[in-house]
Amino acid sequence: MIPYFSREDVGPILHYLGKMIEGIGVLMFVPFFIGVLNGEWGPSIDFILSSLFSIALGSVFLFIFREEKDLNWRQGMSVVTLCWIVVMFLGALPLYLSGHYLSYLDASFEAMSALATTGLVVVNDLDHMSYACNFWRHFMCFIGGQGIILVALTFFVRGGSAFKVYVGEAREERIMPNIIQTARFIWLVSLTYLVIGSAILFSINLWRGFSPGRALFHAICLFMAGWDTAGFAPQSQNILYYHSYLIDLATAMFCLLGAVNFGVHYAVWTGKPRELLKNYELKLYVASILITFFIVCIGFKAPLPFPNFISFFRESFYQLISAHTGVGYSNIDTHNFSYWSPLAILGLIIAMGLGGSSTSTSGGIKILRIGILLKGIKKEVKIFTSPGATVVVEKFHHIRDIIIEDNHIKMAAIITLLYIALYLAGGMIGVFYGYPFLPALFESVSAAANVGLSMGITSPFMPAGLKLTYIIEMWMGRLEFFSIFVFFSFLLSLKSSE
Amino acid sequence: MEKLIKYLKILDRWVIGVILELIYTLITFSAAAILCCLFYFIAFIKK
Amino acid sequence: MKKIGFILIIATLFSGTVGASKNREQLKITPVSTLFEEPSLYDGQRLTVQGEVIGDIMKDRETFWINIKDGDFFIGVVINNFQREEIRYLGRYGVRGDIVKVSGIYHLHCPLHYGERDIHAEQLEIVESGYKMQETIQRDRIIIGLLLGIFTIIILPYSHRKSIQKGTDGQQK
Repeated sequence: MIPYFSREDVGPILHYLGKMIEGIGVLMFVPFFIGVLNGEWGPSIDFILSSLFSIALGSVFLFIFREEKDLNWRQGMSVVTLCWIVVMFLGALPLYLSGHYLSYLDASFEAMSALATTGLVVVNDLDHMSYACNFWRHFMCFIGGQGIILVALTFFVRGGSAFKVYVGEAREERIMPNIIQTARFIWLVSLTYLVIGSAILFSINLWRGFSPGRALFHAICLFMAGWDTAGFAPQSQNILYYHSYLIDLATAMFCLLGAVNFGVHYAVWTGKPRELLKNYELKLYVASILITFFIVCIGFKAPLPFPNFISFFRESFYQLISAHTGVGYSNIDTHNFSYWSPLAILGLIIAMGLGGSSTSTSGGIKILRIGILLKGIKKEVKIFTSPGATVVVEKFHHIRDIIIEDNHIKMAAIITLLYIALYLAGGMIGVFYGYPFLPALFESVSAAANVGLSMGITSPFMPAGLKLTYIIEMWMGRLEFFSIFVFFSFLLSLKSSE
Repeated sequence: MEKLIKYLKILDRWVIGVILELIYTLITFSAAAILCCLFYFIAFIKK
Repeated sequence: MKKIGFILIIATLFSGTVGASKNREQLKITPVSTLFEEPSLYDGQRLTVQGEVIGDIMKDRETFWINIKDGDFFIGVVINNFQREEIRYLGRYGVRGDIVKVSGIYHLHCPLHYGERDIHAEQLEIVESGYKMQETIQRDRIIIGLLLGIFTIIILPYSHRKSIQKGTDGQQK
């Protein structure tokens, strides 16, 4: 029953892990330079220390485990799982050294929240954090959202192992025939929108009176966290800090674009714009946004606590789009939820739980799986209602025409059930710690679907057990379970072979 | 020269693609705004 | 006549007392946390809050937005150009912002600002001026960094020597 792993698997796994760790160390040079540019000597020292530690550690792994073997599926998934945990601990190091976190657990929580593009925060006094450290928080969102493995694929994982680690990080679709080309295309889309999005946000900030340096810093940070559906912001009040409907609109647009399948971007960018209208997942996504928004709206009973339509739309729709894309940006304070009815909050929970498109930066169950399940139900109903000899074929268009097979339905159902189980388990643990059911469920779904909206439970002062629970939920939600199951069976098989 | 034309064609498709995607998001938001407007006025009338 | 004069004096004294108590009420500082714990209670009322100005001053048509931090709670305040010029320090890394006392009307959903929770400042007073903070550099971290640097320089060539490449079947290539 347990997949067979041997001690021979350890070497290649740790060899690739060593490469990833070195890579993270190199990436820490970016916030180091930002710290130096801004004269933030303390944080700069923290980053150079953390960077050297990571590079040294990675080098030790590479020194000991020299064997660079083409990975098989089990090994690829184990690399991914282990990589995420190790990168979390290393990414937390400069955060902890900054003094803005009460413990290493808190720093690790924030690092996992960034890498898994969740956006739940436990930071203290964010408004007095250095540019270097604040940039690192957002940069981890970018790295995690693009995929730690994608970063590695771009630079130093060879083709033979590449697809296995790519899939291990919950991206199944080959957008282009070659996986390295797929990785590079994803970067192209992200960097193009990084330039456009940052330019738009920079212009808005500049026009509103920010200094050029701060306008650029806020623009880049907001874009990285928005596009990668993370939801971090440079200030404690999140998007509410800006008091700007233009910032709301711009961030909402880039969040939605980040939650669209990269294959759709590829089609639209290579002369097939009809994909926007034909794509089954995208059509379902828009329908889902409108349906969950409908639930949120009917949750507000008359008399509405808003002075006009614009304020009602701004508050309700922004939260909904933030929830459904998995970003977690908020233009209201968590206390505002006190006048949201349970039905409106349930609308948000459903939106968060469903998530965005597959092969995007978004989390959650993913709309394509819901679509497959719906098609599966339709197919079964047709089978029941058709004469015995009828062959029922259900298909949909997703980049190309796909015929629904039982295997698709089975996998979609399994992953959906696992997500629902994770949402409920986290909710129950929240209730165990004394929080009311709806906020506990809200927070659990927010963590597991990597959204980041909060009803106030997540804070530096929440119980350590709950922090650990949400870390595990964020990790499992991001990797979509199977990599983690394979990794644990790897550990078990190593123990049983002793 | 041929390469330049080829790259310009690719760039042209990218630009059109980006613009279409931005328009698509605005259309989605507009649909939601219409829905919201209806709800707001129904609630307003009920008051 | 004397009676009317006496009544007028009493009335003037009384109105003075009421005015003074109104001023005292106005200057009685409401913690920002209270505005969130009981949001509707203060809606539309004149009150006073105090806190550190953080981040940036943002333009909004003819007025400006600032954000005030009071403990773990924040509120957006709308100020005019004259009030903006009084603020010298904005809270960020290495800077403690001006502590300001702001009096004005509090809105739970401001109709002028698309439903935002805000205070329209009528009076702004700098209670405590901000200042730049001295950065503390920890020497032990510099030493650890140097040691790690030396170690990395030594180990890098060995860790990046040609690795043993094998196929999926375990055979050396």
